[in-house]
Amino acid sequence: MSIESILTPEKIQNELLSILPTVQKPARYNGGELNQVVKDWQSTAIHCCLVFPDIYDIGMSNLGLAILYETINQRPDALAERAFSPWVDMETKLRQNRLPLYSLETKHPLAAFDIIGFSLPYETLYTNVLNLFDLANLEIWSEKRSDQHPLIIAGGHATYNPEPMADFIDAFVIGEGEEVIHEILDVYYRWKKSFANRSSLLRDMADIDGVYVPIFYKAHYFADGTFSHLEKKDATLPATISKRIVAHLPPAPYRFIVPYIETVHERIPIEIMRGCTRGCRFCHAGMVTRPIRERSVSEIIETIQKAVKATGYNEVGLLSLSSSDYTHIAELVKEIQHHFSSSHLSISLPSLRIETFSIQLMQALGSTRRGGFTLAPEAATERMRNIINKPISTQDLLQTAQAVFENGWSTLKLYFMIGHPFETLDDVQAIVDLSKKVLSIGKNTIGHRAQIHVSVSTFIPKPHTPFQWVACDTLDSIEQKIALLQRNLRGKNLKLTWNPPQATFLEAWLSRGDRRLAHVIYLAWKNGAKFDAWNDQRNMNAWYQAFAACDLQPEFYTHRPRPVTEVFPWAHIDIGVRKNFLIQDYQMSLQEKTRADCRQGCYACGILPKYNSLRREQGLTWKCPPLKPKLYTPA
Amino acid sequence: MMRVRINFDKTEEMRFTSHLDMYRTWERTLRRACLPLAYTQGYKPHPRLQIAAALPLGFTSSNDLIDLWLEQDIPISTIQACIEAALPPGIKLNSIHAVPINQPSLQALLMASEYRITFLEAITDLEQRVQTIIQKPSVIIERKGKPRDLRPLILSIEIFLDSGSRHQGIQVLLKTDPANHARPDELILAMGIAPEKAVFHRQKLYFSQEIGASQS
Repeated sequence: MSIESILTPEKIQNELLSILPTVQKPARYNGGELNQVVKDWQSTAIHCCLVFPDIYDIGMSNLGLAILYETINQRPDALAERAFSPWVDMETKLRQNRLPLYSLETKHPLAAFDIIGFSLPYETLYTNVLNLFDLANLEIWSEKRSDQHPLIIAGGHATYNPEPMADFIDAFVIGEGEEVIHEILDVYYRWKKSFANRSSLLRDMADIDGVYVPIFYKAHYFADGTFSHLEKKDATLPATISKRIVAHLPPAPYRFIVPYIETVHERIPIEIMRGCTRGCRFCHAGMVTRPIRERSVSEIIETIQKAVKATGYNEVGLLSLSSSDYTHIAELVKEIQHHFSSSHLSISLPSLRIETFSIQLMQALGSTRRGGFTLAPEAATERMRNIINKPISTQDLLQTAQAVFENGWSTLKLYFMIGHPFETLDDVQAIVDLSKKVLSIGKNTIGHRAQIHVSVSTFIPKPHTPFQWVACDTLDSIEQKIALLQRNLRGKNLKLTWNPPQATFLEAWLSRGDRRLAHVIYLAWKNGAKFDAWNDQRNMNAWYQAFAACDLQPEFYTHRPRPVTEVFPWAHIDIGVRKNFLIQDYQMSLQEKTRADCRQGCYACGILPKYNSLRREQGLTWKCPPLKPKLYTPA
Repeated sequence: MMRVRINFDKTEEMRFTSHLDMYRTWERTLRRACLPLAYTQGYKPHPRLQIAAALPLGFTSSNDLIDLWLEQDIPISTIQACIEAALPPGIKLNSIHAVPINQPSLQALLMASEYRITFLEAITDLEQRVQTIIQKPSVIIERKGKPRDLRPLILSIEIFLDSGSRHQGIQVLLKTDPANHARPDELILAMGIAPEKAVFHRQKLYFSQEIGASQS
């Protein structure tokens, strides 16, 4: 790429005049929304472009992006603009007209920015990242980038295993971005003023806590293909990269950009709590977001007020991994009633526990009964729920369902997973039986209006969880299970939806992949893979051909049970949870033993000692119980 | 209860906002303005708002009109100040009036729309194309698979030269009533000009009675 090939914003804007009228939803590509921040390009030192590698409609609902946008733009020395994946029609137009990918705010080509930050919350975005590099005329491989190229950084939940994308990203931000982004910008600013070369910038980045610069590490493998170790290219580099956390949740953003077109979530998102103490064994977020940090009721109420004034939205989503576990949930709901009951504001509280108290909460929030009530038992037998550590008794579940119908809802949504470790066809048949039982409770309570929607997804073993050692269920077995559900879970007022199993495998091999997958991702993209999260766009053959060309087997990553002695490609990423804790929890699952909410008693997951100094400085407990070295010993 | 009529411009930033999304934008603007909007009754109450005429995606407008209903009477100057402070980048406020509650809807009173169409590329025989279409007894186009005659809906066409950009264009007056309307992109297509090579702006709406909102 040459500097001459960078088009000016004026030229891009001019070309857009005749392109935009010819594509679907052109407002995706136009910017100019309420609350967008446009700073003066010339007088601002650092230009960042935040990229969500899927379409605008999805990316604009991402809270992480909104947080970083606000944080960066508050600095006088930096600006943050936005870019998203163009949908296929717009991509064609960009390529036909030789227009580079540009930012929405000022229409600068991405190559003109100093820092490009990718949000990677899930793995099926990876080919889109490569496609965006290509559309932006940027080098795809980080080693080929030179001094005039932007610094490419990435963060988000998928990057807790950064290795599959390690050859494409200059620096990964591991963990929570609110504080470390400022350190990155400070280092960048000093470097820019020093006129030093790119490798000195990368070396400085590697010294920031929580920042991983993969080019300085070389991966080694055993003859059988398993990972051996990561070699540092310089002895002063950190051997492990610990995730960053903030001691307190910083003030919640409220000045959200308001799109002119409909996006997936049309609401004010407010994170009421970060972290979770439930310890569901399949749950990646529950492990990587420890410890618990909560916002106060008064901050939440104030944020709702400010955000409604700033955006005009009539919907608020109170977000957390487990709303019922927010310490002041009853008080919060009471305060919301007090402040907003007459304001045509609808407030949603997702991720509620399966108990009748949840129904009281929903009622107090004045929830409309239109959308239905959602319960997520995840598995249909008590045995299976013990294995995954989501212990709820079937009796409690049925009672809750009954109360849902009694209190005016006619539709109940049930979320299950199949393909859990040690699952049998009986456990899957139990999904059918349980759903039908719930339907009959509905019919007995409200008659023929009762509707059950069963939504089934397939379990994917994730890194840093107690199930990181287990193999994925086989395609045959998953197909058999889905067929069983299709055959038996039918009838009036019963609706079944499920995920295509191929999509599951794609995510599965990327989740627990190593650095060799970079070539697979590259070739898959070359073969036409992109929008892998979209059922109508996914191209599995592109992936299978890429695996074959690289002489790698997808099954190696997905269907191989891994011994607890195996070193994982993500071993250098420290989430603060001890490996021995995960092993112990994995072994307990084999014995169908559960661990209760760790607020009741500490199982020494390791998060407290890991962040002890941060905690002591701030005088916090993070809802962890007093630390007595009381380890659980399996009987 | 109070009925308020707003005369506004839809500007460049909102060129690609659809009619439905325009409603949502107004709804949010009025919520930010903290005005006591009147809501419809029923299963899914929504604020009572009426935009005079739908504007196709990709068009900007001047002197667009929207009616809204408030639960309480509020001085017009207060309403104006509240809305001014809450407007998004793509809406410019021209004027606000109170109108009689029982006046027929703007849609019912609408007669004609005036558009300014600027061509991005020079059209050497523009004058001839205009003459040709004016002289035709009928201009049959297809809309949603059905033939329609545009000709009776074309009230006037005038050629102009934009003094700033030096682009050519036409200003057209098209009939727009509840029973029948012509779209300006259909018109230029019938003249053999590609709509994506033109920029559309609706300048003014004409109604069958005095509607109490001054047209600037």
